[in-house]
Amino acid sequence: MRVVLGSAHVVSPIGEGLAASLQRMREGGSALQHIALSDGPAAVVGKIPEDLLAPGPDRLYHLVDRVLGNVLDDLDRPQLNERWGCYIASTKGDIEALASADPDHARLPFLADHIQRKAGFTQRPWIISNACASGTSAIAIAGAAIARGHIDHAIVLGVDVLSRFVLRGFQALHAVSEAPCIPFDAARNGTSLGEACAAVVLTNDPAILKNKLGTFLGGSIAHDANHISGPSRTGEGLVRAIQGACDKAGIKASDIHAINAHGTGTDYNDGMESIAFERCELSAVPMSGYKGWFGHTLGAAGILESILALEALDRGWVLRNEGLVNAGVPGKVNALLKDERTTGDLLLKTSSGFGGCNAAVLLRAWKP
Amino acid sequence: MSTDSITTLRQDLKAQIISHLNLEGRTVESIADDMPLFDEGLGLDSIDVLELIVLMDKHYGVRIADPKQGREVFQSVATMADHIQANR
Amino acid sequence: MQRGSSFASMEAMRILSTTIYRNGRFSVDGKELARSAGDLDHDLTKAWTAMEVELPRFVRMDRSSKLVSIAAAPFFAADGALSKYPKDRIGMVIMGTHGSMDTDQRYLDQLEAENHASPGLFVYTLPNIAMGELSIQHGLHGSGLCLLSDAPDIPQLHDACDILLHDHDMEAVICGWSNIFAGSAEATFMVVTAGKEGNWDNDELERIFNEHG
Repeated sequence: MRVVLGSAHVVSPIGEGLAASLQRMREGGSALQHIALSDGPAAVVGKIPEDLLAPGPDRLYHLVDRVLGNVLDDLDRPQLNERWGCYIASTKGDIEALASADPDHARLPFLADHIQRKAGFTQRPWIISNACASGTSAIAIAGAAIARGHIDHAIVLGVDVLSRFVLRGFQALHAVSEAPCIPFDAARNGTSLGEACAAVVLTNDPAILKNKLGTFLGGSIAHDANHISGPSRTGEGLVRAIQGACDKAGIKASDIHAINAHGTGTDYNDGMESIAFERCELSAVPMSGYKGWFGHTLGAAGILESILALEALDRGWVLRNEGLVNAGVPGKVNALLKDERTTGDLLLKTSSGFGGCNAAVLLRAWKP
Repeated sequence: MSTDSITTLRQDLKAQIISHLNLEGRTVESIADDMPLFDEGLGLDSIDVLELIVLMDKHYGVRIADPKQGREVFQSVATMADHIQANR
Repeated sequence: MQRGSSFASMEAMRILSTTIYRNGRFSVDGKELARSAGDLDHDLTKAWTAMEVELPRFVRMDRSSKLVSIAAAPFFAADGALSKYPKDRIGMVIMGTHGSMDTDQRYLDQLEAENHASPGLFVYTLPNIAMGELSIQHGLHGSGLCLLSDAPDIPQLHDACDILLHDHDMEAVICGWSNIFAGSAEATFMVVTAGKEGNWDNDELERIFNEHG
């Protein structure tokens, strides 16, 4: 049985849709911009263009509806019966609602209710909140659910929007840079927050997909057990997640053609990842993180980045680390400075988050 | 600065640390002036450094711009007191 | 054979042990370990003290993390249900409805009152941090899922355990419901393993997870 991915859609600071987003990445630089907060320090963030998503209190729901609607249209609006699963990845959902007249809307199940009603799922959606590893975790779980026969198809959707709550918190941790983030660079000094919604369908029946993106080979989740906000210096959790995914997929490190890393632009995260990649004998594999273009989109990140990296690989590209000038990480890695052509098709996607949670998935590009 | 005021500053600091970091069950007497604040000793971590930087600024008017500098300043109550005296 | 939410055949799962924290009362496999009826913080401290675990970190944690630590503690005792399992083969599936909202509120209150974002509070404003604290405490390197739902979703917990046991190769899973918000706390935790003699019963679990006695 193959688990196939397809009918994906994205809305992020670099725009809407896979083809348009990829073109934007190939031809243009960072979409990160400076913003001023009325009651806090200035920041550099990735913001979805206003012509795609207007300001307002229901912004999160409009964003989700737009992406979900697009995916369902692409599937010709099927009956989402008990053979359909829904896996939602989000770290904070509608967190700004906490300060509003309806604080209960900040509860993540409220977002799941909205999605279930809008789409018409018979099954209750899963909400997976594994910090910044939520998106990749959701892909791993959806793929496993199909492989185990729980369901035949799944919609995996990741979303998070910019909020004062999160931005002020990251600033308090000294985790955000005052310039656009530069993952893996020697001069990196923090991440840039972003926002996005990304969704993809996984299925054991590729006939339902008008647009096929790739196949899911295996995934894994593992913990650092080190510190709630600082990663293990030796990458314990990430090494285990990568090895677990490889074991599941029946592949060796030397089979991997491209890595899409988490690459937040913080000193500790990127350092840890480089050590983990070297420990897994992946030092020579073309590697990049995409956050230099649109920032750290939290719950959406693993899904947004997997989709774009697969799309790139389908078209024969491994994209660069946008903003990287001079790699400076303790582990030996092949951090791309320029886009590279490739005939390879095997992608490793990794994500790491607070709580010491790490997730890895192996995806094979769809080549005609 | 007199020995008395050094002692007072150190005692005040200990009380502030306990209150600011919510160290339930800790008394001022149980924190020695040169007890290591991190790892063994008081068991503080990198997040606590950030909170202590805020404490230094708000309560003692001493700014520490870079958290990495923090580790040296926050070795012990004695080093914190020294830094405050030198910079306020 | 009990199944979760699908018609596909699934391998049997066995529940080895259960802890319940509710209304200040904490019990393991029906045996009461602690009982308290003070305020929430007092009750949590009382239950933790009864565990007789040396952990200076406990008093520094937020309430969600304390509750999860308490609910899982008996499993890690010398004769506990997890005592014989390798630490990197113990998975975690923790479900709740409010996630980290107890701490989210505290963080937000301070942000609004003083225009100060506390780093010590902010690090706890994610639903999975409690799971992270548990993994640090016991050196757990295995797989884990933080799930959210309006109420305990037994079929979803079943399917999550099935995935962690059979796809992520865990040997045992700490699986349960933990929720703390607005001065109220409840947790129901289980140790789940794969096994020929399955005893997972959806109806029985619905009853256990949802009783408010």
